[in-house]
Amino acid sequence: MSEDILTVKNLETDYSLDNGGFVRAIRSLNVELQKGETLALVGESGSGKSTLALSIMRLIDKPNKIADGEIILHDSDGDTSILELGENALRRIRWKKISMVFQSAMNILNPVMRIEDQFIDTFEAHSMPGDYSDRIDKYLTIAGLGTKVRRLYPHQLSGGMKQRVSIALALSCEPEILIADEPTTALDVVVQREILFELKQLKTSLNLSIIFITHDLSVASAVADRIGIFYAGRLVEIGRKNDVIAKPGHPYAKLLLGSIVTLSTERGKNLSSLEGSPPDLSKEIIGCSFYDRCPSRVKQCLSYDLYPVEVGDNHYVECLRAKELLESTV
Amino acid sequence: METLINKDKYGQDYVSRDYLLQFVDITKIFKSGHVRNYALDKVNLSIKAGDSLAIVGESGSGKSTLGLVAVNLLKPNSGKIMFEGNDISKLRGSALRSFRRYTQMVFQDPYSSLNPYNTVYQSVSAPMKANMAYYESLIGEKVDSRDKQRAKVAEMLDMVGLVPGENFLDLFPKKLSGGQRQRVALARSLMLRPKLIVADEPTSMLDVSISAQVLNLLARLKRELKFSIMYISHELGTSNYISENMAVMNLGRVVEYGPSEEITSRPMHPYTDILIKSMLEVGGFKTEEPLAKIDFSQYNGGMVGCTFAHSCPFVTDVCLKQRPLLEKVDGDHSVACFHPLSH
Repeated sequence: MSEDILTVKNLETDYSLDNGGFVRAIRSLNVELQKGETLALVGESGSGKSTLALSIMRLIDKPNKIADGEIILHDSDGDTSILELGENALRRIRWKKISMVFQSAMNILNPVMRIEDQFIDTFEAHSMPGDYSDRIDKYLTIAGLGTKVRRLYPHQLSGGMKQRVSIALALSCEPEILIADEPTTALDVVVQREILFELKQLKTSLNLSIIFITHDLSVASAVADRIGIFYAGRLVEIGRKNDVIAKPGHPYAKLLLGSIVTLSTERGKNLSSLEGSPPDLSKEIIGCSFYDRCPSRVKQCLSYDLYPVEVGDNHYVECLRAKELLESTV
Repeated sequence: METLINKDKYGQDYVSRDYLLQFVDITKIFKSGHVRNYALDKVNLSIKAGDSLAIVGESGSGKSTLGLVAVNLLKPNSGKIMFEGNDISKLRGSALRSFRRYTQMVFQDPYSSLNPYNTVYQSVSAPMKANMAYYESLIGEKVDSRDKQRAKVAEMLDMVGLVPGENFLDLFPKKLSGGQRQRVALARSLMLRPKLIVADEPTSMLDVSISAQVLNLLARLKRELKFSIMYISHELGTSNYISENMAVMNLGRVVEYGPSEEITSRPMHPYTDILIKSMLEVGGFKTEEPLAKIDFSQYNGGMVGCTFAHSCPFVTDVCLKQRPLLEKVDGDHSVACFHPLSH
C-alpha cells in the first residue's frame, strides 16, 4: 500500500445560479492521490473534473462555494487541511506544494511580458530563494525548451512551446503535486505525444504526483497509473489503468470505451453511443445518476445508496450491479 | 489521382464527369504585411462521384482552407475547381446558386453556425424556401403550404435523429445541446439532398460519446442518401472511419493520397508515418520509440523543396532543391516524396 499525498473526503462543490439555487458540480466525492503516481480523471464536459482541480487549488470564487468536505495534503510538514487555510497560508501551498497546468496555455501567459519576466514574477510572488536566472534556465530545459526562449514574448512561441512554458512555470517552484487540466487538448497529435512523454519522464525524475484531467481515455491511458471515471459530479469508477480499460465495471465506462474511434475501428460500424443527456445537477438526484441512460438498469438502482463496490484489487465501481455485470461478460 | 503539377498542359484532358470534384493546381495565398503565406500550394486532388475523401493534417496545414475553396466560399489565387466537369470559379448568378445546391458545408462549431435568433424550423427550412422550385422537383410533390413545409422539415429532423422532429421545430438553438445542434446543422445541409457534404471537424467540439452519435449518423446517412463527404479532420481514426480515401496535408501541400487503409497501415511519407506513430491508443502510446521532432519554424511559404525537409530524418540534397511531386507508387496510393518509406 503506497502512501497518500492528498486526500479528498466527501467533497461537495456548488455553483450558484441566478435564481438563488445552485448546481452541485461535485457530489460527495472521495478520492486520494498516492505519492508518485499519475491519477488520470476522465469525464465528459460538465462532469466536474475541472471543478475538482479548482477546488483543490481553492480557486472556487464567491458566490460559488465548497459546501462540504475536506481536502488534506500530507507532506513533510504533516497534514494540512487546505479548506481551512487563510489567504496567506494558501499562498505557501499554491505553486510551492501544488501547482497547475491549464488547458489554454495561451491565456495564462502575459502577452506583453518576456518569458523570463513571467518566471521572475512567479518567483517573487512566492518568495523563492536563490538565483532566479539559473532557475529559469533549469526549468526551461527540463520542459524541453532552449534557454533562448527566455528572451522571447509569448506571441513568438508556437502552441506547443507555450504549453511547455506553462509546464516549466508550474514546476519552477518545486511542487510535490502537479494538477494538469487538459494540458494537451488544444495541441496537434505530434506535439501532444511529445508533451505527454515529457510529463511522464518528469514525474519520475522530479518525483511528482500528478492529477491529470482529460476527456480523452487514450490520453489518460498513455500517462496514468490509475484512472478514475467521472460522471455527473461523482467518481463512478477508479482503478489501475489496465483494469479500468480491460475490465470496465461501470456501464458508463463501458459505453465510453466503446465510443472511441481508433484506426482499427471498422468503417461505418455502429459505434456504441450514449443517448440522452446527463442529469440536471441543480436538482437532488436519488440513487444512481446514470440511471436514465443505463442499458443495465434495474428498479433497485433508484433506491440504492451509492457506495463504491470493490470489483478487483484496488478497483472500485459505483454500481449496484457491477460484480454481476463483470461476471456475465467474462 | 493524376499528377498534374509541373506539367505545361493540364486541364481539359484530365477533367472528367467521372469526378464529382477536382482541385487543379489550387494555390491560395494569405498575405500578412510583406509575408505571403501559402495556405494551399498547388493542390491537386479529386473525388469520384459517390466516394468520400478525408483531408487530414495538423493545424496550419491548409485543410480548412481547402474545404472553403471546395464550396466556393473562398476564391483561390490560382487553379481551378471543377465540379462535375465545370469550373466553379467561373460561375456567376443563377449558375452559382445552383452549384450551391449540390455542395453544402457542416462547420466545426455548432454554437456559432446556427443563428441564435432563428428557430430550428427557420434554420433548416431556409435552403428549401430559397430553392422551392428545385426542392419540389427534387421530391416530386408540391410543398405549397406552411404545414407541408413544416412536415418536410420534421421529416428531415427525424432522419438526423432528432425524434420526433416536430417537437424540435420551434426550439431555439440555446435549448439544444452541442450534439443536437450539430444534428440540426446536418439536417440543414441535407435539405436539398446535396451531392457533396464538406464537413470541417464536425465532431471535434463534442464529447466522445456524443461524437460517436454524430459519426454513426454521418456514416448511416452517407449510406442511405449516397452523398460524398469531404471530411476534414486532424484525427486519423475518425477520418478512416468515415472515408475510403485519405489525403494527408502538410503546410499547404498534399503529401500523400490513397485508400485510407493503405495510408494508415503502410504510410509512405515520413510525415504521415510520424503522424500515425504519434497517435494514442486506448492503452497508451502507439510506440515508445523516439520520433523525429517536427519543426516547421524554418518554413517560409512557397518553398522550392519539400515542406517537410527540415524535420525529415531521411532528408538529402534533392529534398531541399526540388519539390517532390505527388506520384502514384502503388495502385491508387500516391506520395510526394523522393525517399518514400517501403514496407
